[in-house]
Amino acid sequence: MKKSLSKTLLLALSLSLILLLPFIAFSDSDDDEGEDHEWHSNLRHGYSKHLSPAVDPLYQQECGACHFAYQAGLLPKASWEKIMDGLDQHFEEDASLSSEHASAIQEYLYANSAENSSARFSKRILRSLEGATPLRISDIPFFKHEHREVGTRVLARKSIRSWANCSACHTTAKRGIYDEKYIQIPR
Amino acid sequence: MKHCLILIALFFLTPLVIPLFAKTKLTPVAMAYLNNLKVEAKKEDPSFQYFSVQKGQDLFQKEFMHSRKKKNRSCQTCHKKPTSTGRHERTGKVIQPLAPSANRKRFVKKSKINKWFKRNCKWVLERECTAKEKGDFLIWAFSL
Repeated sequence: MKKSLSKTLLLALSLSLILLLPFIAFSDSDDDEGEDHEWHSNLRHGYSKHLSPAVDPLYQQECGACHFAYQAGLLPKASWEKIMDGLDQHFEEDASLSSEHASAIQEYLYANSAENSSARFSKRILRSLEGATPLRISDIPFFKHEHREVGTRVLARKSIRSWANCSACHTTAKRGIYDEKYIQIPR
Repeated sequence: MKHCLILIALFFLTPLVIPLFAKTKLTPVAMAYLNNLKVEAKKEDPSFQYFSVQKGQDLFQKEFMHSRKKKNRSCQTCHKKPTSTGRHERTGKVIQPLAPSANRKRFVKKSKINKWFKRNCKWVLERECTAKEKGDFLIWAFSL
């Protein structure tokens, strides 16, 4: 009698384990409520919240050597055109590129400019520009509005120095994520 | 005639002498680059004999008054201490260490060496560097 009881107990235990297995194995994927989830749910609605990262290796190498490699979706195509046409006088620096490199980078920037970006960010930038085509991202009204609380003394900190240094405060800037919750202003 | 022979001997001996200065082993690319520079330096100045680590360091530290900006510029302005990270003067971007002993990715690609010598010499000196200057700089960087 005792033996059969332990047998049924064992059977019940193993049965419940088999039944529970799928839940145990996949429970992981459910509590991933982070930014990735946000990203995908936004994609489903036809736009993404975040800018697609600047993954082009040549762009990273050539432009990203001196400054943060801004996502192409931060400026309209006409702005990128002006910038690429004046690289020998790039904000008073000579940043000229070989013609093959220049045309490859051009192609990348134009194809991913704000007009061609599905990011909500790009849409807001374009709307605020009202057709203007500035050379500096920091001249975009939407940019100015978002940064209105950053004082000149904070900006002048050695660890920041310039509006060009996005990743100094936006810890996720490289991934195209500029959400307030990921901002960390360095001392 | 004797003089000439000594000069020729020195010219061929320099590749053997240069590695003695180096703390970090010269990459094959850097080695070939230096040999090219040596030929160029000889063309610039027939009395050229060696590259100098000391002159390389002097060049790295020397300040040049920029004609338009009216501000002193040097290699150090951005590279700071060559064995640790620097910072771009205008954009604030962090620059990886210059010295190959601290950054193995330095001086491993000819096109990159050319590009940065050209761009940065223009930024600091407002002209391209001579072969002598580049050679001095290169062996100094490898001596760190």
